[in-house]
Amino acid sequence: MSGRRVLGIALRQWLTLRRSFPRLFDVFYWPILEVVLWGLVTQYLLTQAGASFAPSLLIGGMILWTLLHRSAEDLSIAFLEESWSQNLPNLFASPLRPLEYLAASMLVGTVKVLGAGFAVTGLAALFYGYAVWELGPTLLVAVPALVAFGWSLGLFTMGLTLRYGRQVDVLAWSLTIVFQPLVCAVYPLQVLPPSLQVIAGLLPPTHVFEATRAAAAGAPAWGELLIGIVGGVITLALGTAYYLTGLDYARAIGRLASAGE
Amino acid sequence: MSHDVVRTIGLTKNFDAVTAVDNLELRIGEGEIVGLLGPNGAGKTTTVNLILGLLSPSGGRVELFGEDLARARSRVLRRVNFASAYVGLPRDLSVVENLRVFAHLYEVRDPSARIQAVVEQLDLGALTNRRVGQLSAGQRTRVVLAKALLSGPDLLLLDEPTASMDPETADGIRADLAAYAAEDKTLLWTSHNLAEVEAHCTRVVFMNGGRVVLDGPPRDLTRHAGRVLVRIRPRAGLPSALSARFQPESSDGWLRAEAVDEPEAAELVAASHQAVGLEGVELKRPTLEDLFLILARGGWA
Repeated sequence: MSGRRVLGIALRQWLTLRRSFPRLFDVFYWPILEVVLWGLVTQYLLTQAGASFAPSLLIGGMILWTLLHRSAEDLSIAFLEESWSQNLPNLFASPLRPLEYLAASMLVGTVKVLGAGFAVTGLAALFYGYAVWELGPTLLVAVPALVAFGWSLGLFTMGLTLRYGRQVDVLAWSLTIVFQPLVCAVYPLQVLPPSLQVIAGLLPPTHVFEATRAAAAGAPAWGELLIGIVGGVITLALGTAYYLTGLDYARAIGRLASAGE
Repeated sequence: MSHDVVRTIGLTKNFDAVTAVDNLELRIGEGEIVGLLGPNGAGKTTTVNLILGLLSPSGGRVELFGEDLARARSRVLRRVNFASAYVGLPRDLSVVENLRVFAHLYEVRDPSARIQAVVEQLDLGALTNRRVGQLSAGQRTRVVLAKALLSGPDLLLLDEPTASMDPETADGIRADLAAYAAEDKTLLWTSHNLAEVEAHCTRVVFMNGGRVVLDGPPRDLTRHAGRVLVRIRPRAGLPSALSARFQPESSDGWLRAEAVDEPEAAELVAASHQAVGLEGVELKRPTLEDLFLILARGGWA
């Protein structure tokens, strides 16, 4: 692993972000919009007679969901930008190793996720008096577990792009949304129909969100959290393998070479 | 240990039922400037992409600097770079930002000085802070070439490097590439500009149907071919036995044939003259361009 090559890709992605207002806007706009919206919904529900639920159920869930969502999008869109700018042949005919590219994308992705995360956390505290850091140690494990799963989805999208070309570009935005109802970010697992509960139980973020709700209720669920983080690592490994085999496939069918045309 | 810069061993690339490169055995030594020619679909670009590792072979292998590309990809690609008229650079980054990124990817020493050097060499000084997306096609090609020269590669692959350039700029680029090659660098150069190849390459490799059909120094190739181009303008239609040898060249009645040597050329002319009479005759040794056209039509292979 070459630090300079990682730095080169990180620099490329950072310059793109810094030079493009729409991209910079995108990092903060959706997270802030979602937190403001769900914060208002929470405020309204709390004013209703007989309402009794923790604000973390909605606003806390949305903050954490935002981290997962941003992680997936950051990784896949950074890769798509190389494809759109016909730069993939330049990158993959250089000494750059595929894992160096990933390391750089994850580095920049972490900075973006932290930026968005701090922004929405601050807003939630400022406007709604909700302090996500009160989740304590659970938060320290939940965030990397969710980011790991988000990156897995990003890697899966990259692998699909390498296999099927630009026709699957749209998945960079839509794939993560498919998982939103299943991972139970803003409601308990029991809300889902039994058949969907089985599917949801197979997804590591479901366990992370269950653990954060338990922590908010004052009863940390370490077992759930462990399943979430181990599952996140496993899906990350699977996503990486899918991306790497996608590169081999792209080299075999000529997609990498024709990405410049 | 091989001293070849490039060596392909039984290199084959199939795309479904199509064989783009067929059992290619190619060796390129240090300091050679090789022009890779052939008609569309001959396998030139596929060969270049296989050498760059952008394509994986269906059979055989590529060795660069004596090492297997598949096993030592990152190490050997540090000594290789390429420029293609058909590959872009990030349009939202400025010229100098792009060069800085690639200086990191190729781990260029003293990147600022090296960037300054290629910027001056390619006369990009006035463009350094402009975004690549704002440049003309010719300017972008120069930036892509700057990217290729930035790392001082021992092997430089060029795919139509002067495409989309005006003649003056193209001449400047050719001079830059000639100067670069004079530093004992190895160049593999695909082009449809045969005068460019003839003037700058020390060796020409013709490909057709994924195979090498001729290989040698440009002058030797035309001499080695030993053929004679026969152009005639008959007064009337030739008898079928003779007309089968000729192909119409233009609408003004000129026909063209290739003879294996001078006596055969003389025979063709004499027979045609005897049959219908001739208004015009021209015999000449083929240029590289003639050879290209003949080979592209499948002749003499």
